[in-house]
Amino acid sequence: MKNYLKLVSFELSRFIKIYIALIVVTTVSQFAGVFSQSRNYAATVNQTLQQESFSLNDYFVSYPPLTFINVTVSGWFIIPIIFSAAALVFYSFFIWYRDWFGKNAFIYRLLMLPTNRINLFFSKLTAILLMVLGLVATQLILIPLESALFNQLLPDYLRYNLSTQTIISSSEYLSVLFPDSFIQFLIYYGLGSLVLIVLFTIILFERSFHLKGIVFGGLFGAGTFILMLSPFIIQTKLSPYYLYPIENFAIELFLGIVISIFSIWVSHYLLNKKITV
Amino acid sequence: MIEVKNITKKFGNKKILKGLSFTAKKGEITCLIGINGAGKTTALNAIMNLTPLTSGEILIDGKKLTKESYQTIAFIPDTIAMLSQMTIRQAMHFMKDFYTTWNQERANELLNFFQLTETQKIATLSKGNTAKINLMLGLALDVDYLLMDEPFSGIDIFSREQITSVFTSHLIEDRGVLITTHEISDIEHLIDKVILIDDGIVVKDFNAEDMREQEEKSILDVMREVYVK
Amino acid sequence: MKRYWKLSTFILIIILTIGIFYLKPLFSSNEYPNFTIETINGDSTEIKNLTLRGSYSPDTKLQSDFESMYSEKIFSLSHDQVIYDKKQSFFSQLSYLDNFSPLNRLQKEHKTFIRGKNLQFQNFFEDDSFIVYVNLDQEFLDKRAGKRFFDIRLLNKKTDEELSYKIILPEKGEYQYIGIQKIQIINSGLSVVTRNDPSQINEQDYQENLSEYHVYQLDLSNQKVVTDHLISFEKNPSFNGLTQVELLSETQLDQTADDLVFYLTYNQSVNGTDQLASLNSSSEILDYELIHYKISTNESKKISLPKEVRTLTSAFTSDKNTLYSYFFIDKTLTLYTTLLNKPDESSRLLIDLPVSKDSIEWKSIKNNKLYLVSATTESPLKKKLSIYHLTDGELIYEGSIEPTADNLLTTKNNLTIDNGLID
Repeated sequence: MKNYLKLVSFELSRFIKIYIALIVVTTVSQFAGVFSQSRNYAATVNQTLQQESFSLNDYFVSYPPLTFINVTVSGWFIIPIIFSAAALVFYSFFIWYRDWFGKNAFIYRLLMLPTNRINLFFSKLTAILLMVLGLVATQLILIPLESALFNQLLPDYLRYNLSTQTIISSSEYLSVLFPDSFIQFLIYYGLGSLVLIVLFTIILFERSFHLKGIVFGGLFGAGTFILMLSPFIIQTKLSPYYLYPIENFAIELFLGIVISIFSIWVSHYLLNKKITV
Repeated sequence: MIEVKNITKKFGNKKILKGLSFTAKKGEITCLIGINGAGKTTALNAIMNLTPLTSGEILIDGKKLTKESYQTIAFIPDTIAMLSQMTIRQAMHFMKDFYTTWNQERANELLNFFQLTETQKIATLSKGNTAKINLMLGLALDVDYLLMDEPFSGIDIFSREQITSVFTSHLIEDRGVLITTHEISDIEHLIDKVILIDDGIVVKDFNAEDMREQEEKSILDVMREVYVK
Repeated sequence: MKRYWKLSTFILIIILTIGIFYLKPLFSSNEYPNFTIETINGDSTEIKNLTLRGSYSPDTKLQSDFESMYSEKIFSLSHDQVIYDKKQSFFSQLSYLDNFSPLNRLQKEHKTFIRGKNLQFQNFFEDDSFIVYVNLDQEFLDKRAGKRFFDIRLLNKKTDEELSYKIILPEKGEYQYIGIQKIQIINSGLSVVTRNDPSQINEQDYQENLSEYHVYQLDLSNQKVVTDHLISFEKNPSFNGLTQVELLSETQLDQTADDLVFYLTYNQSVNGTDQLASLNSSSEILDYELIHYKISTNESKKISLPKEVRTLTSAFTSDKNTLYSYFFIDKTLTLYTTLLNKPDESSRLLIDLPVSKDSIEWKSIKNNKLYLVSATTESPLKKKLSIYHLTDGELIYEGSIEPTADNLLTTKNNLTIDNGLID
């Protein structure tokens, strides 16, 4: 257990520079978006009011109001999120491969640590999950700050005080990253964890058997995918909607847990008996 | 004692080890000699479970390798097994963190001997110095067995001399050392046991001193006999 | 433990942030404000079976005609509670049915029987002893595929015995779609009313909506279709534009009503090449007919309505054996009630409404009562609920839909009621 924590700490510190850079870039870009959009909006409104000699109410009859929600769907906002997500996806692979490639094959050191090798698996898994959740938390902190700034920058007749909840549920992609209810959160991120676990196992197949390993890994991945979908596949043969949603959910939950455990067990076996430097 | 019993290993379709058997005792320096590709590195990796075997068995003090074994047997691979962005201090800290058998005093002693400071980054070290640090990371562990893979490969002569002098010091005595190398000239006088490997099997296995005394042959002589046909 | 302070802080921040995000709405009532129906006049039992659907937004301007960025908070309001869609437990949101479908009760009481069934309301019939389920196995059918058949299941509620029948549908024409509109049990015979859309073979067909309505009478014991009536509508022969037929009657779960009302419209014909325009449902209506069809006798008859209501601005709705026809002039509603079995006698009613047509957010006629939700001038958060009895036009209930006292809502916030359900 202690070694596991040490390794988690270690894995995180290896990526911390890039991680902080991602956070900084996201923050800067999103605040830049806030400045840019609020300036433009205020200027556009003023210009229109003058040009067409509208009153404020007239304006809102013809044009929709701009709120912070609009900022959240702008490029300033979304691009760094996509970029960070891509970086973490990339690192999910790299977190393993970096130990093999590079001048100093650090994998020797990791495999020779006097600890259960599965701790290598768990620590890398934990590191990635924590980093994902860290970005989620960062965004949750940034949104109210950015929203407040956005409102401050606008004249008060253009302001809308929207809560974080409201802002998030109004954006299609934000409501996927931060779902409405905690149970949905657990489900989405649980599924993500499952995917990560299976991915790691596939990587370990490759690292154990190389080219053959890609085939094994591919089959393993495909197998787990089909297994997860099996209740739905079976139902299209039997009769669609044969199972009630709660039953579907229970089965999927069970399958997810079983697949995770099996995947971890396979990884354990590969790490101890088949892995090669 | 490290017992390697009839190990075979295939890489894809190619058999690298074809039934290799030998032993390495504690308190002795055993040297695996063979041309490139003979299977020396593979054998060492296999002992440390860094690569799986196709068949055969390896016992350390009569038992199979477990995670705890890594506190009693250390491997110094041919490249340094530490992150190059780390400083020497960070590397030592890492070892100390995970190994209860890490001996910081011994590490400091070695650093002094090699005239290196712990604030240097591993990435900035020369090849020779990197090899020295690699050695230090293995030697500073209070382990019974030390495996080294080509510790002299590509090192300048002065560094080689420094490293060789470590072999005669208290840092090595009482331990079982299993070493692979091409350059036996540096340590020929230190080697206790020689194991000649060719094409995945042991072709000759002898005690260096006995060979010198009884048949008046140096290790090099035997090598010539065996390999040059 | 001290050495892990960085890691611990990191994890702590994550837990706190995500925790607060999910716990906060539980404490802030302004996210999901409470609304209630306050009775001003009349018997509060009148609203016991009423459920309204509405949405709340924090600002009237955000709920504009434009595609709003902001997502409104939709809720269901009944006499004793408000349930926001988003606040429902995850598992209720998973359900195949929405909260208010009567099929929910059936599903709960007869879990095994309802399993795997096509949960269309009109596929079910229930009385004290039986539940009957009729389904067409393939609504949309490829021409080259096999035949369609009726999948019929009967559940005897008392003995829990299940019977099933498969009856092949004899198709006289080629239909690309057949959908069940209503099932009928009359004199222990089972009839199924369907809408059949013929296959579109050439471009010409796209222009005309050639939907047909059929009534199939089924003989369960012999497992065959006894008769297939095509409901015919007397069209005006001199008209050669588009005609469209719609079934006006709503279905109840106890599908005993024997009468169907159809709305036949004569539409502006469109240019032959303009396929897109012909699919546009708001093509101009030139004239219309209302037709009453009796299932048990296979008789269809035009309903002649008084001239006053036979205009293009009138609206029609049918409930049980009654057709209601009405129109608005300013704040007055003129309503004609026609009993389908006595189509020549229509009674007229004039009702003074509190608002004109534009301020009515929702209306419904059911059980011979008119339910009305209208906006008020006091506040966008306050609506008026009025229920009129349609025999004499008397206002039997007056209520106010408003936020509960503990809310901190302002007049900037907005409430809209757009739908309702009466059990």
